[in-house]
Amino acid sequence: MTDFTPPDHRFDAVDLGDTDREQASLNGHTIEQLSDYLHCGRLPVDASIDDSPECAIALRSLERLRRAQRILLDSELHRESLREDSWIASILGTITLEAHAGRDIVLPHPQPTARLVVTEGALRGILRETGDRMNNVLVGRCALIGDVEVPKTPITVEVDVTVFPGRNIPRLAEELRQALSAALAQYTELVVAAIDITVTDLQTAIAVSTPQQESP
Amino acid sequence: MRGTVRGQAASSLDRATDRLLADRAADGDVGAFSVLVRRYGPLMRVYATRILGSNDESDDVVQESFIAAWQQFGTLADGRAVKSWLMRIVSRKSIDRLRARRHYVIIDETDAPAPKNHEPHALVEAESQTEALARVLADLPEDQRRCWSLREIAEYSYADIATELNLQVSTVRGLLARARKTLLREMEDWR
Amino acid sequence: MSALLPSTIELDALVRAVAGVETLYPAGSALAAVLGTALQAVAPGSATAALVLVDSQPSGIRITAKVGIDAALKAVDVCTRVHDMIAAHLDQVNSRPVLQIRVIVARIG
Repeated sequence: MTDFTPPDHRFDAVDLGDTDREQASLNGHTIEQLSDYLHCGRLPVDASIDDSPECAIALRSLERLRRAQRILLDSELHRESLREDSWIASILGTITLEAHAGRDIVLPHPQPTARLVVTEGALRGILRETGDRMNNVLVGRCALIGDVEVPKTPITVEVDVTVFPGRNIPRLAEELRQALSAALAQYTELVVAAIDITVTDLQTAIAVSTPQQESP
Repeated sequence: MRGTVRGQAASSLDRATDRLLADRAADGDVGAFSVLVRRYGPLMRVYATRILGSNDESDDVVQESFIAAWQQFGTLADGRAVKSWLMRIVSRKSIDRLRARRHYVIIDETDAPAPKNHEPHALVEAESQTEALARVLADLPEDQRRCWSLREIAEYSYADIATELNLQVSTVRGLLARARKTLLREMEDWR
Repeated sequence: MSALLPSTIELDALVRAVAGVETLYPAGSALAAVLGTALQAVAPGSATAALVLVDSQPSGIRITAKVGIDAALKAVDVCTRVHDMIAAHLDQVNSRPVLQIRVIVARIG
């Protein structure tokens, strides 16, 4: 902001299609360039913009527009959030669970006419829940790598987790690994070669059971 | 016991990242999916209303979008992009609706902008800045309003807008420039 | 050919009664379920479609049950029990060859 810019000076947007005049009045810039400059937080610093009083007036006008838009959007979002949530229920009611069954994980039975399976979807669901049951952990992606449909084929389990503060992470991962291993043994006859746990996010939000702390 | 575990997980899910929620939804976790619906549903409805110009159809469009999203989560490569992915879906469905409407609308009904400075100002005396902005946006020609909404609400790049609306990038920039100038002029007028 | 097919209403009740079965889901596609019930003597006034699928072919019958099970138990134990209960029931009421008895766990817990 320069000292000699009158605070309430009106910004006259130049007529359409006249880029030359526009650039002439804005120290060689177009409004689009100024808008992009604002969008990038005025970085990298451009003295030909920052030191031009005409640009300063235009930028202020653009900023006012931006703020007005922000306020409008916030008020619309607020109004939306107050509306009934019954439409969510109707969406969820329309959804079927069948699309996510995945492959069949075969369980043994002596009779050849028996086919006993646990769906991949069912197994992933309980593995997720097993992880969620532990404090400070949320399970995200959970994949079974390998041919789960052929008995005795070694498979690898890959799990992505979000970790909340409060625990030593390697120990948490080991605890999770053991819990998942137990679940796999309980619900399948899969030969598990490895359980790979990847921490993809460290959340700063406080987990459910720990006392509230001041945010930095 | 089971209810408690689910309850704990549920409150943590509210704070989960987009990526985690998308990954779980892709796996069939309805709980994670409903968090995404609550998180982005309102924004999608505001966007659809801007494009369609009314509330009635925007509800349908957003519902259809979420149902499509549920079925297509497998195609989302990076869970972190779920927000823009959802905006893309609702944008396509809104535009499809608009096109379907065209068949029944008389030609020159909505495309010409309303004459601005001839509006009887008595009607808008006590208009707040927010109301003024909403009015000006609604009065923009459809093409301009669409581009502007994709940029401002859905945060699309010029190239993505061009792809989405099947236009040249230069055309997109031209439309945005016109919309910007109209908005700047009107907001200055309001002052 | 007037050999009666096993009643799916009875099969539904049977499977539900097995220890460890918490939910019984529709086993087949909607179309298959409709065809299945068309061949059965559905109890009058019964509003629910049959859930256990009885698929009749020239060479024999196939049964499919889709369940949700108790997370506290071993899946193979519950599945084996379901299978064996169905097999025992078929031994009593059915004379056609049993090609397959399929038990699908669609949900745990």
